[in-house]
Formats: sequence, C-alpha cells, structure tokens
Amino acid sequence: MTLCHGQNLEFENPSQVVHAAADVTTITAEFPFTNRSEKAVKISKSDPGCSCISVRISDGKFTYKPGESGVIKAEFDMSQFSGTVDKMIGIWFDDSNAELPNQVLKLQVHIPVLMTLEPKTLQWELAGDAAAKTIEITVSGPDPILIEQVNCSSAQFVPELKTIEAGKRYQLVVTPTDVAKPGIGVIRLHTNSQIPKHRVQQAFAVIRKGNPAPAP
Amino acid sequence: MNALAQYAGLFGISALAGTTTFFITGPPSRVFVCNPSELKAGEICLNQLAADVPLLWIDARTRVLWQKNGMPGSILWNLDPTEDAASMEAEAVPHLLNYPRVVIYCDDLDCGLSEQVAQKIRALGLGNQVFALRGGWRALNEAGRVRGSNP
Repeated sequence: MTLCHGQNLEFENPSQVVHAAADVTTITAEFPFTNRSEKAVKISKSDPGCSCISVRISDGKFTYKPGESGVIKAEFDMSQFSGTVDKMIGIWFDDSNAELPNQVLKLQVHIPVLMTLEPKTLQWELAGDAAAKTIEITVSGPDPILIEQVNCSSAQFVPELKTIEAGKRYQLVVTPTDVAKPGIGVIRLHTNSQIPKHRVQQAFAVIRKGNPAPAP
Repeated sequence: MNALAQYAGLFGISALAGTTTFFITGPPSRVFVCNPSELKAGEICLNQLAADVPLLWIDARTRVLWQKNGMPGSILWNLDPTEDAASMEAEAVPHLLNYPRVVIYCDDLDCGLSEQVAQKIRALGLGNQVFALRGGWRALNEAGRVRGSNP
C-alpha cells in the first residue's frame, strides 16, 4: 500500500494499475482517503482531463473533518482504448486557485490488443514500382476472430485477403492499379469480433512522392 | 518579552515588504514555464518549435473545446468514446502526409491524451516526427496562439 499526502488528505493508493479484459467498456477505480490534518478539508475541484472520465466524491460529500474518511470514485469509459493507457485526475482542496492540483490520482490500465496489423500502412513511391505489398494480420487473443469482409475507399488499390489460419492469421495483399498519381486508400476489415472496438480494423495504402523529411 | 517584541517586529517588516512587493510587481506569476530539461520522451516546449517549419497541430481535447478555442488550422483527434475513432484516424491521414512534423496538445494538466494519440500516429508508420506539447492548450493560450486568447 502506498500512502500519499495531498496536503491534508492522505490517499491510501493514489497510483493504481489495472489489468482489464479485452471487452472492458468501463473501469471504476476507488481512491480512499482520510483527513489526517487538524482542520476540515474541502475538496473543491476535480479535473479528469478527459471526457472519458467521470469523478464522484463519496456520494456528494465534499468537506471532511479531521479523522474523517471518504472515497473518490472515478469511472473510466474505455470503449475506445486498447493497449496501455495512463489516466490522471487532478484534485484541488479548499478553493485553491493554484494552477497545479493539490493531489494527482493516477490509473494505468492494460487492455489486451486482440488483432495486430503489421504494417498498418503500405506505401508506394509515386511513379515507382507498382508491386503488390502485404500486411500481416495476427489475432493475439485466445478466441479466433474471422475477417468477413474487406473493402477499400479507393479504386486505385486492390486488396486481397489470404487466410493463413482461419481466425488466427491472415495476409492482406494490396496491389496499386496506378502509381502515376498520388493516392490514399482506407482499407477496412470487418470482423466477427463481439467487441465493438475490434469489429472494424483499418489499414492504409498510400502513393506519394517520397516520405516527409522532418526538419531537425 | 523582548524576544516576542523582536518576533513581532520581524513579522511586521516581512508583512510590509510582502504587501509592498505585491502592489508594486503584482501577484506571483502563474505563467506556464516549460523547462526543456524536464521534458519526457516525445515532448516538446512551445518555444522549441521553429516558426518557419510547417506543423500539423492536433487537438486531443473534446470536439466542443476544439471548436470553442482550438488552435487555428488544427485538426481534431481525440479518444472520446462518443467519436468515431476509425473515421477520425482516416480523416487525419491526408493531413499527416502533408506535414513532416506533428504537435499534439491536450489540456493544461498532464492529461496523457497527447501521448496516446502520438502512439497512434507513430503506429501508422508515415514517417512523421510526432511531439506532445508540454503544457498543452494552456501554453498555447498564454502565448496567444488559440482562438480567443489574449496574451
């Protein structure tokens, strides 16, 4: 257990790590605290820094006398997230108008990535070689995920899906029909995943003149 | 008694000096200061961005805030569950192809959203140099770079 004083409130565990299921949509984290000071402390403001987090403080009780305890509950909407996600909530006490919060609560969430596309973008040089290129698709979760449909936003690219192991491994072979002009294709893979955020996977095909050269 | 009087005298002098300073120089500055030595990997200070290098600005805050006071010319790319994540990514790609350097900002607090969007951009493999702006929108606002700001 990590104890942390946010000025006058002592939080039992201000930094938490959660390993969530792939289909998680919301995670609720509780941050219990106790007023260890000799005066009442008011929680005057919270800033989750993200519309995906809602914060509740002990059923609406904001002022804590010495020795009193409470809980800050944070509900995280994780429907768009996968991989490792770090979230922070700033808490201000006693109507402080300081720019920085008196206490920062942290939550790190690990959500399994069920399907990987490598690379995510295929690129061809403008007026260069028009040879087909391949995206390797791997299902890394325990359950198979079938790719049921593939479509591309541009007729400049022809995608072809090859099944290596149904539900586990695929190859997406993309052939440009014309590399004489720049183009962008958005390739969408529609799967049978029961998890909404994994239902559509997306890759890109690009024809352009060289890569952008970042300035030093 | 003598010691108490001395303490009281010192307190009075300190209070007078503090009050005088406050009225002459104003309240303490709360302007965000970006220290390059404190940057995390992938972060950049606003004053480190060369004015003559074209940048793509990405606003990682909510759509409402982006529309209200976002950086002029910026595009929206956030992880808001109410947004269509695939469409947002697809709409960003043509912009990313045109700009070698990308800077993402979120709120003034170290909200972490910028870094998550940066990871998504790097995963596209388009060759962009991607940074999260230290200080986020607050730094831009104080520099007078966002809609409605008044430095």
